[in-house]
Amino acid sequence: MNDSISAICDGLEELPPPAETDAPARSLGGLPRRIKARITGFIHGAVKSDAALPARELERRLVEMGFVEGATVRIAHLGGLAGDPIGVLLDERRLVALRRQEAHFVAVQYPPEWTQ
Amino acid sequence: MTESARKLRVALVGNPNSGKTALFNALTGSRQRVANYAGVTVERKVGSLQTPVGRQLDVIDLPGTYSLRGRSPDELVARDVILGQHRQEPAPDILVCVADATNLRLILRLLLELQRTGHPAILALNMMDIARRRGVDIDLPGLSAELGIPVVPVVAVRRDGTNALLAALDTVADSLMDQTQPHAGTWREPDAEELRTLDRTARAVIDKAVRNAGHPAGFTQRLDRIVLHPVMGPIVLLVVLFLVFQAVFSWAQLPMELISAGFARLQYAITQIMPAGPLRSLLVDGVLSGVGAVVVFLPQILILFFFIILLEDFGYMSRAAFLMDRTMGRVGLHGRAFIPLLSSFACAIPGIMAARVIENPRDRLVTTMIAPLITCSARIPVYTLIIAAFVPLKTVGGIVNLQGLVMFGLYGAGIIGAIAVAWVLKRTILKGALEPLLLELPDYKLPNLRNLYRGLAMRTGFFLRRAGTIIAAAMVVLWFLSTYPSAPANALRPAIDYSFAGMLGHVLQPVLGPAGFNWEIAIALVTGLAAREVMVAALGTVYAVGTAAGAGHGLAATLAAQWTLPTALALLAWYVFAPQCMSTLAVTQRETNSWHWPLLMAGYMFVLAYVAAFGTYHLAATVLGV
Repeated sequence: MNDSISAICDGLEELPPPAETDAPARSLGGLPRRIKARITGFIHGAVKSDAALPARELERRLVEMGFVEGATVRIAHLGGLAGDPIGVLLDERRLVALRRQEAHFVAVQYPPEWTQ
Repeated sequence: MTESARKLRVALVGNPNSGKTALFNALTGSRQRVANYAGVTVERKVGSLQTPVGRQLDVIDLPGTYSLRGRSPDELVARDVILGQHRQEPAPDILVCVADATNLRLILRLLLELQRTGHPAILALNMMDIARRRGVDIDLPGLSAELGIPVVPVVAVRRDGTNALLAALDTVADSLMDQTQPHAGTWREPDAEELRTLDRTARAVIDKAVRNAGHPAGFTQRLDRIVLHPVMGPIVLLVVLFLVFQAVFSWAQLPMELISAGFARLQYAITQIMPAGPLRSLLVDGVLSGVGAVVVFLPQILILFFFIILLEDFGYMSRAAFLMDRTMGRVGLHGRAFIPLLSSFACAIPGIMAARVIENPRDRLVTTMIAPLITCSARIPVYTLIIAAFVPLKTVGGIVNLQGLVMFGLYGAGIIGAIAVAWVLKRTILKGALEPLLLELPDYKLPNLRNLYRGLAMRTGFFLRRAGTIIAAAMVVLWFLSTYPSAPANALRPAIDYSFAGMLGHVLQPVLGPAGFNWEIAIALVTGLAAREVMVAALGTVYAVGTAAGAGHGLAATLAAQWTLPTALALLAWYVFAPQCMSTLAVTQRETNSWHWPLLMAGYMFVLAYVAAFGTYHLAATVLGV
């Protein structure tokens, strides 16, 4: 099922990233594969209370790795059939691996029609 | 003290994968020492270099880091040294910030942080050759003006690739001479907002000074399409691991035979030269046979590390961690635990040392605690001996060699044991959510031969020192215990039966008897406390069939005649969990900085070994009707 989505998305990935007001914020964790999106912030409510790191610390680590507002992200690789962890291409340049759980913390924007 | 009276100290700082170690090797060549910082297993790499004007500088290679916040033991060392808060290491005078020239943003953010420490800094743009090939165009004078520090291009892996850096070091060192006022640091831990501000500044600098950021590495993207494919990726990983282990066992065979023949020849030569007596016996039967039994594994360990360093340099190891993260996460292990556990197939000691890349102390402890359950090469001689004696050399189902199948089963049992223990630890004393996986998957690059050589030389030195000290000393003690008091002239039983070791074996026999072990095995297990493989030499002594080097088939035949099959199987089961390795316990003590964890490790392994041996013995005895 994901394959059909990614097949559609293949043709779309060259589209320019959306303007800031185009779409509601979604999370990087829910971003369809190969879709390019822009980071808009962090969803502090997405961090579970029993997580290894509190939201503030996770945010610092992500910022230190280059996950900052305005950077573009694209899920380029899936670690296994379960689709977790994910290999995220940051700014079309650096490949960083992270788990879905942490990816849900990163808010991104992209036009809604891309996911249909 | 004036600046001119002492050698200036240069610290190399940079992100992981920036080629920092390659630069360190290029700068210092053979004038380097690698040791450990006291209390932690973080490598302390110090060397010296000479600048074009003949100035001698000390160089410290700090562990790779993304921040100055000290999140892992590695990063703590880097932070403390830079801030001048380290107990062993004085503050550096000059910081060389090593950057991957194709990837400036993260390092520029770190550099802006570093500048707040007040140290003069130089930005070294490493891998300039790769960057140029990828179309990167950086306005070096512009970048230097923006940052207010010297910026030099570097190709660490090429001869003369560091000339610009050496010249810049001279310039900075000269300016330090004129400066009388010590620099004042204003660094404090940044919060997320300050990090963003730093990142924006870094981006602004890049926008001004980088004319072309270059195109992404096409080769990396093409290869990753296969290597990181959800289906193909794990298959590639399995094939890589299979080939590595194939090489470890087949390539090592000849050098191992040569080493063991060399020791046998040495023992023979000493027997010819020296008169018979306690000293000759100590040298030949004690030290040489014991050290020989350990040194014989050097080829296997070298081959395994050859591949580990090669794959690490190439950029594959972090991808393996990425592919394994989900599977390992099921039992509570972090993806980064993959490399330490892989190293443990050679020896648990480098495995435990490699665990320091895991940031969370709990996750690191789980990995440390299970590393000795992975079948290390020291178990191989014990397995080989018992399998040769008790498992018939026949083919099962037309293709599978039965002896090989048993060996495979023992490796599997070790892995299953490790998984089970990790699962239990993560749900009891080391409970807690898994640390996030935030792992950079660097562009692939050709491994550098000099790094490979340095890495292997370091491991070899470490291993040989261990063989030459701990194991040699243990062998002397063992030899003494098994030689004295000597047997009476009219002795009917083997001499060792009359010795201290023999007495100890008889004392322990009632405890080990229920697990199927006789007093001879009890002696061998006690003497094998120093290192697992010593047991083979000890069995040789107990059954008086000569020294370890010559033991081989003679010993196997003796064992086949003396032991029942359930006893042999029980001993194999014992060795899957066997706690006998003093060096592992010592490294665990140093790594965790407590006696609690090594004692727990020895304790749980002993219990598992006993239970496994007991169960195997009684099950086998019942099934076989012995």
